[in-house]
Amino acid sequence: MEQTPAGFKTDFIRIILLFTAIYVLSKLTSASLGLGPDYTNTYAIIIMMAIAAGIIITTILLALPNSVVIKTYGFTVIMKAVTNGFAFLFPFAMMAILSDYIFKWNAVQPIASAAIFTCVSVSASDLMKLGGKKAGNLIFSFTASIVFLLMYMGCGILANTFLK
Amino acid sequence: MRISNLFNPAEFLKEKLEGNLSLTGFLLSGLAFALFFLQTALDSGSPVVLSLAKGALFGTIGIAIAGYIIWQTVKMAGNQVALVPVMGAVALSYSSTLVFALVGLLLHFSLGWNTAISCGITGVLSAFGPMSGVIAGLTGEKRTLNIFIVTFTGVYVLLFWALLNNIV
Repeated sequence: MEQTPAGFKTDFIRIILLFTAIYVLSKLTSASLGLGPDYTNTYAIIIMMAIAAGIIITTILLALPNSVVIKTYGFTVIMKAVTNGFAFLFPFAMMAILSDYIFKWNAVQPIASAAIFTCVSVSASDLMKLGGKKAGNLIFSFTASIVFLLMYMGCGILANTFLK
Repeated sequence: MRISNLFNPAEFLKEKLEGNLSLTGFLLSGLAFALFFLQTALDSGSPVVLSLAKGALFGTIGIAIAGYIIWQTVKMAGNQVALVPVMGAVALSYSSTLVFALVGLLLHFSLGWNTAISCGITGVLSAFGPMSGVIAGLTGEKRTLNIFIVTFTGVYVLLFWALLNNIV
């Protein structure tokens, strides 16, 4: 039977932190675009869906260079590494709250972009520790970050075009 | 240099500089924050020398205090680690901030851009990745604690940067 390696067990608090971060970043991104009150919640839901899709795409892309890891620990370890990696959205969400409400900056988009790159690289580096291919993880994590970022930014461009 | 080091420059430096970890870490973080505060001064028109001094002090003493708080937290969570290497490793995480600060200054002097937010804050945020690797090693893979420690450090750095530069 496949075993879950140490540090890869997904705990309930981490899942709550992940969902809290997704909610906060979606709401702040939506508010930062200055859409009308009718559209702000719609756009927040679209952003939440984009982030969820981004996490699924990252899982699929990071599975490609980690066939050895999947063979040893099963596919669930990829999902756990990505969930653990994206739980690191939480510190960035707190930074976004700080910058938005205390400093009055409109910096949620650069913060979210940095968050995406960091979370994907944390997931990839965890998988490398389990024996995943190093060059493969580097290439596919970079690809996943770019795809994720394009989806996140693309939603903003579409909202500015159609929801105003 | 291994490809994996691109993900985690702090770990790479830690391996190479095992003996002089703390001193190198504080030199790097002192320089990183001095340049970051310099960017802020150049953008806002504040006195440059004073900002450099504030940055250097925060990068050394301020980060040492953050390292001490992290060490206490890690100790309370049941992980026995020595204080000085923890402080050094936390300071070393800001090696990527130094790179962003240098790029920001280059852009400021060559193109006249204001880069305190775009490069400076991004540099501080980029330290979260290496720091998570360093703290995971200290906490014995207690991931949730790791997230809270990174959150604390991020809020601490951003708040003190804002307070020291009269941004709030």
